[in-house]
Amino acid sequence: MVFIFILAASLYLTIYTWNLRTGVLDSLAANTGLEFVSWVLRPGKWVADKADRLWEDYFHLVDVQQENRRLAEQVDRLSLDLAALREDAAETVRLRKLLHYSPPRTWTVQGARVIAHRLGPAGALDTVLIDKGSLIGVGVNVPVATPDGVVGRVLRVAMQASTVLLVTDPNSKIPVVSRNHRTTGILSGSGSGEELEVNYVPLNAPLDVGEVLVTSGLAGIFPKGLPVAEVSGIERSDISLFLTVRARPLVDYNSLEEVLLFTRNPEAGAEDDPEDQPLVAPPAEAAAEPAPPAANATAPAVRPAGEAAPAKPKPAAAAAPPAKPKTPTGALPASRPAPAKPKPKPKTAAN
Amino acid sequence: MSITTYTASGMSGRSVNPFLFWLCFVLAGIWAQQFAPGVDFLAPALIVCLQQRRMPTAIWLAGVFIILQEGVGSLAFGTLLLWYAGLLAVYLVGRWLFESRNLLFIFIIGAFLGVWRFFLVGMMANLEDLAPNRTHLATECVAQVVLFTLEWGVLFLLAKRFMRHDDEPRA
Repeated sequence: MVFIFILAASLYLTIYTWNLRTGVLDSLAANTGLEFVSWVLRPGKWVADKADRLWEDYFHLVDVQQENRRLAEQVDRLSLDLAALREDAAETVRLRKLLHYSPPRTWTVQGARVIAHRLGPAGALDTVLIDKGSLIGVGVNVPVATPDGVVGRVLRVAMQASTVLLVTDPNSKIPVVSRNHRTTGILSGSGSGEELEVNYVPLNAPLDVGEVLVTSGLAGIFPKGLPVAEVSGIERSDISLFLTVRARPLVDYNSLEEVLLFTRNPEAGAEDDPEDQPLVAPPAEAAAEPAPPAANATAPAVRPAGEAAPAKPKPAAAAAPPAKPKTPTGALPASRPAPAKPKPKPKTAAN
Repeated sequence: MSITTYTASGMSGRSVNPFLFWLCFVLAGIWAQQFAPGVDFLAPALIVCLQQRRMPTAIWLAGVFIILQEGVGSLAFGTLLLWYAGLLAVYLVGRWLFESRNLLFIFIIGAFLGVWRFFLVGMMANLEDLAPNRTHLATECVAQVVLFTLEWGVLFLLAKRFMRHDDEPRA
């Protein structure tokens, strides 16, 4: 009996460690179990969405006229903003050309539907299940966001479904920078329904309550400039070298229905590889190039999605003056200012 | 699909194909899990199979459950192997002391699952250097205890109603 137990335990440990190294069984489970579950849940979600839409379309028309008026005013305001931003973008391209800056990497945005939240006894982390997977190029660590802010990153991928680790999970670490003061920190979750924490913010760093935190792009996973959270509290500790900063997420993770997936544009990525490509600025027409339709239609704040050059700035870029603070949206269409020279940051397990 | 009329334990009913029965159960279980995160709605099926002495069915169901639950989970493969191994172990040990269909015994199995999940998820997450939310985990473990017992009761009645027992006379 003892021998059988030892044999079974040894076999289990062998399989477990082999899978940790290779990921074969995780991949098998994702491509079978996760795929099957997504197919089971999808019809019900479709029916629920249809019912919701029916209700919205035919029964819930009370405030439509007021909403139309408000939206028309918003469109006028945004059109003006867009015109100004186009001018800035064109200017950025011209300046980049003058300074021989390499353009930031571009991203492709595609929509996905949330079909379930955390499932099963092995669902230890705060996750959601979405209906897009490796068939359309989604991979592990693909950033996920909504027009309001960052949702998280892809944790596990099946063919037509993926699991997304939410920002609220304690294991999620995102390098962020405050939008106005450019103060950097690492944003980590504290659990579903709890406020987020910003770690490694120096005691003398300028930061205001209410300031929006955007992704810094330094970890190389998230595009630079996506809004993530809003500072809700700052406390000065007597025993720590860092401020205790709390932040409120910009997204209601409990009512997520649709999200945007950011995949790197392969062509632009190859062109922008600083190791292989010469520093050639893009033509000025690129500034007027429209953003991808999904982002254009739904997410002006996250439309451009340029990636900060992660580690090695070119000599020309390094010699350039530090970038000025960004526009209030934190991002510009089709092109963005080159990133400032990264400040030294504490090494963390940032995702 | 075969549907035949039979009489068992004084209760008349229709016997459905076991595969169809368990397929419907799996689909319903997956949907139920969406409304109670972290709770295993599939585990009571294994206990019902063991109580009805359907070992082959219990084995293939366990294989399916492991693949499904590992697929939708967020930990490395292996957690569900230990999860169902623990369930099997406590059933086999507890059967020495209790009558297998005793409600108290079922509640004890549910309580074991609640405690087992708390330690198991904590241990497996530590192995991957992850930090699960302990408060939520504890809440889900309590839900597991209650829902396991309730679901077993419903499933046991349904299985008795729609599937023929090995120890019951055929029609």
